[in-house]
Amino acid sequence: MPRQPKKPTKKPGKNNKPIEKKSVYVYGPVAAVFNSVNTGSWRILKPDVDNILCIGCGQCKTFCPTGVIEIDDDEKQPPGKIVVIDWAYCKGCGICANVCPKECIEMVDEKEEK
Amino acid sequence: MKNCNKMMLDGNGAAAEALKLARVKVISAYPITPQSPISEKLSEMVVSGELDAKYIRVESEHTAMSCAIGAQLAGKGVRAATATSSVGLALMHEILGVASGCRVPVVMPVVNRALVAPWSLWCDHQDAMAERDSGWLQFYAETVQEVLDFTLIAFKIAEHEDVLLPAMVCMDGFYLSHSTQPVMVPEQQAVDDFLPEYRNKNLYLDPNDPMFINNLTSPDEFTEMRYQQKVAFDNAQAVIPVVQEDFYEQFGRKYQLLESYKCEDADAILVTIGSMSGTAKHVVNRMREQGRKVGVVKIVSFRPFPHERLKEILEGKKVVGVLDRSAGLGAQGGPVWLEVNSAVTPGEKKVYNYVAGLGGRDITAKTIEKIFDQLLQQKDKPGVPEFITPWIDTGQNAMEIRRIRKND
Repeated sequence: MPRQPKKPTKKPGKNNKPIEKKSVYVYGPVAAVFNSVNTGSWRILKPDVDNILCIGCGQCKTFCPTGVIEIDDDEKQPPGKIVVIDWAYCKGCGICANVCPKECIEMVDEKEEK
Repeated sequence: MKNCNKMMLDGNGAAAEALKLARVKVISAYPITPQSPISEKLSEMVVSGELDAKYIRVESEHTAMSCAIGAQLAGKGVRAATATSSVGLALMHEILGVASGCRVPVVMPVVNRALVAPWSLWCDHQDAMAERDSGWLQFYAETVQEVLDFTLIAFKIAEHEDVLLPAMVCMDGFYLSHSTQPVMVPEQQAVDDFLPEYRNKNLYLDPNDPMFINNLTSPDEFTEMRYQQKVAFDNAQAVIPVVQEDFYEQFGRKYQLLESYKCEDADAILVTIGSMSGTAKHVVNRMREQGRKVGVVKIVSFRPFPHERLKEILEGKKVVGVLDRSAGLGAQGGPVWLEVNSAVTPGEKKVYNYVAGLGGRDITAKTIEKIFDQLLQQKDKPGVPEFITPWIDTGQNAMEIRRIRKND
């Protein structure tokens, strides 16, 4: 099994505002500490987006099964858009690379320095 | 009757009415004979605006239960409804365990129908009995009135914070689901008083306060998770009579974990479950007119099984029969018999197993009278089961029917 980070990858709550915890006990198979949901740690290959070729069409965002891709505005890039990936949850499945109409996403080795 | 109006309803109608009175907010049901009228009535209620709920059209029972669990867990919580029967319940099997393991108190009418093969559309208890260890409470109704009342009672038991277990309300296919009987239907206000708005008391799904439900649980903790469920069933034994008493105060109808009918002075007692109990009581009355002392114990709650109460009722009785409406293939007897036999002190009395009413075969007064005849014959000579034929309504030609000689 991949080693999990010791600290939660994201603070819970909208806009990372701390939550006022209700003091109740809950029973059952449940976890409230999110140490073990860092599915990004499963990644062997990671998508590498060529932001010069990218037209910001958003197909990768549409097809991403984990919903970790956002298309943000970025004036520095040619189409005015940039692909942003949440590395804490991207499992490196490669679907984005497969659906990209400009073929500008390449799956590269996770450990490879780029 | 207090706070009630009389209506003519069949079992399916009573189940739909009870779910409406419990103000379910999400319905995900997949139609299957003989449960289909429940799905249809609920959808009509939603369309007409009589019931304020979201109706999700699902593609299978597996999804129906998954949707119900998700809906019930969402946010502050709502009651989610589904209903099923036979192979539909079998297809739900995996998700039944999720509901009970995650302690989601879904209440589900189950219209009892035989399992395949042979294909059958008709009543027996094998579908529900196959789920008897799935961590669900199980209540078996004798009448249409009980279908309605047990459903309302089941919500209150299931949602009790010491219980938090899902519940099946089992009714015999066609014998109850399609038989129209006069039913006292409680008024909405009275039900609201009995059954306040549902709030998640345990796990919940809230993006602003996330929790990870049903994560992979290692051997370090799995046993303890099961033990928590076992404790919940122990608690249910105490909670059920309290809730039934609440119901009695509110609506004037009294129920128990199991019902003892004319057992005090009985020479022979038959333990029954489901709609057959009505016929059995009728036979008891008729035989008592002839001076033959017989009695009936009707199992209302099969899960949890009220073994202590049963032991009290059977105290000092020498001859007890148990009538199972499922075959219990490969076991020493049917599932109800196994429970009753384990509840009594070994060697103190003989508990005889009977199997009848499979695949829709009617359990007639004649069948039950035949059982009582056999039991009374055993009274004076315990331990000699010479007259006992467990498969009491099986044809003499069982091994010959549909036998085809081929390749002559």
